[in-house]
Amino acid sequence: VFLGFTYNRTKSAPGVPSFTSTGGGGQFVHNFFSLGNSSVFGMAADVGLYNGNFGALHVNSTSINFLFGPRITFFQHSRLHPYIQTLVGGVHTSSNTQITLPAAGLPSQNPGYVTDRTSNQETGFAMTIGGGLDIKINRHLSFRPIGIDYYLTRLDHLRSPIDNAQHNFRYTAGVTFTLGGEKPSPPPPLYKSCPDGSLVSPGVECPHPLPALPWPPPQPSTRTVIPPSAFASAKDFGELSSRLDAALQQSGYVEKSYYSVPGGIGIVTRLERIYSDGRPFGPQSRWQIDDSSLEDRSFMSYVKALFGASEGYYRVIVLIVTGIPFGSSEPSMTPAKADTILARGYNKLPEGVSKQPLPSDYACTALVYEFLREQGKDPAPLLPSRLTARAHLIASGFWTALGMQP
Amino acid sequence: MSDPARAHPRRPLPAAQMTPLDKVRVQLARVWFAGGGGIFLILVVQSLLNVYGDLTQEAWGWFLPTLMPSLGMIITVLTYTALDPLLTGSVVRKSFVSVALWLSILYLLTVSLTILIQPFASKTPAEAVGLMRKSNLWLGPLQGLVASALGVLFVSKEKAN
Repeated sequence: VFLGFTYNRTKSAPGVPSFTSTGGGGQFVHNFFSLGNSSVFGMAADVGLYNGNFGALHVNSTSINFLFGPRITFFQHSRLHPYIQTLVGGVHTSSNTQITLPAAGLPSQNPGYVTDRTSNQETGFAMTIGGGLDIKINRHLSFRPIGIDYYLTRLDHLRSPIDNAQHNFRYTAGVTFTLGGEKPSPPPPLYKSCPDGSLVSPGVECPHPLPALPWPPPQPSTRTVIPPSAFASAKDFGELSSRLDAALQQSGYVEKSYYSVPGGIGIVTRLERIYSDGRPFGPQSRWQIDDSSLEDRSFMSYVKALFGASEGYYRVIVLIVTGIPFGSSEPSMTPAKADTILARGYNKLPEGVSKQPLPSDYACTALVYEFLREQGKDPAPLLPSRLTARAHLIASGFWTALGMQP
Repeated sequence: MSDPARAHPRRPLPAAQMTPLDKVRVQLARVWFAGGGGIFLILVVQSLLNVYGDLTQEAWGWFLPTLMPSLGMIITVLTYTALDPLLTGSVVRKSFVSVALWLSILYLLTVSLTILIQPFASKTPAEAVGLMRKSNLWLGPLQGLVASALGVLFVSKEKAN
């Protein structure tokens, strides 16, 4: 709804003096549908009242226009809303002027003259073609500094001998009150939720390219939190994972997978064969999971394998870095599942995840999944482990590779 | 025309090429009981340690027909002759004894190998038993040859020297 000031400049025809009229007016616009991305089509109803004197003739003219037509508004989503419109309707004009005639036997206060007013009323065709600019102040209020229209009227009492139309210029200015309109966009969230369930800052890329580790993780054989002093200089996940990666490489874990966990990352090592004291087998047989026959090439190892010492211990280490506390689910981890998890994880940390800052309260937790293969049976989770997680990490060499004292 | 019998008269082999049958039987019995006994003991220990898990019966099902016929025949003949205070007096060619002896050793080594190779060739009890079954492919013909040789030496009717 627009309410504002109206300025009209009327020019009838050569020989007829132009005159100015001012007043006010209002518009009601209803937007129906969008045209493209930011334009909108609406219908406008325009009512105006203005008054002026017909030049030196002192003819007082008052007009009321009532127009209706289409309007297209552009850049609907910006602060500046230019528009164009074509309105068609009518105009009602009432004109009067004072006339003085010589008195001829009539009573008069002004001896010799008689004064009176004569008036004329007329309704005719009217139309406007023009446009303007609305500046959005807030959701419900806009300011219109300029609205310019070519304003055509057809009034007989203002006609010239050669033209019965009046060619007017109309200028409007005022304020527009918006009823309804676009809902304000909600405030930016403090965190955005990623498809994997993690929360990151709005400006940070979601870590969703990383596959999600089963969460909460299956019950491990044992677990421990690695002291933060091992990663004292790490500021983001990339630096911390590089530190872990170097220690894993140094302790022989050359194959590993990266996963996302709520609020952090997870690293899964390959299933390895270990001795009962947690030491890994030698490089030849450490990763030969199906080969439960020989631990090494020694005679004792052969005798051991021949007489049924083919029961074996196996281990998977999962490192989880997150600031979110977590527990564990059912003990559903199996060697086959560990192999699958290793295969589905990423080979490196995506850049978007690497650059994420570490939570202030993060913890690096080592989950150790230990399996025991008894003679003639499939490997089964060893719950709980005979060793502590720290003993596992020390025996694997990972603990010392991190620079920690055994 | 000359008489073929006269042209190729049957002459006895020199004594150096012959060996007493009793001595050969004892010699073969030692080989068989040493080899078979060793394999038997290994299998017993493996069974006690549950190496074959639920497939222990299958393992013994492979072992018994592999060795027991020959061992049974050997022990039966030796037991029978043990009651006779006299030597048989028979002799047998050393060349055949060598054939029988080496066939026996080859057969026992092949049977042993089927078990001793398990730590390298089989990873599970099922694979070990599978290997035993597969070994029947070559043990069968070999066992036929060995049984023939042993039959001659232990069962055939003795000829007088």
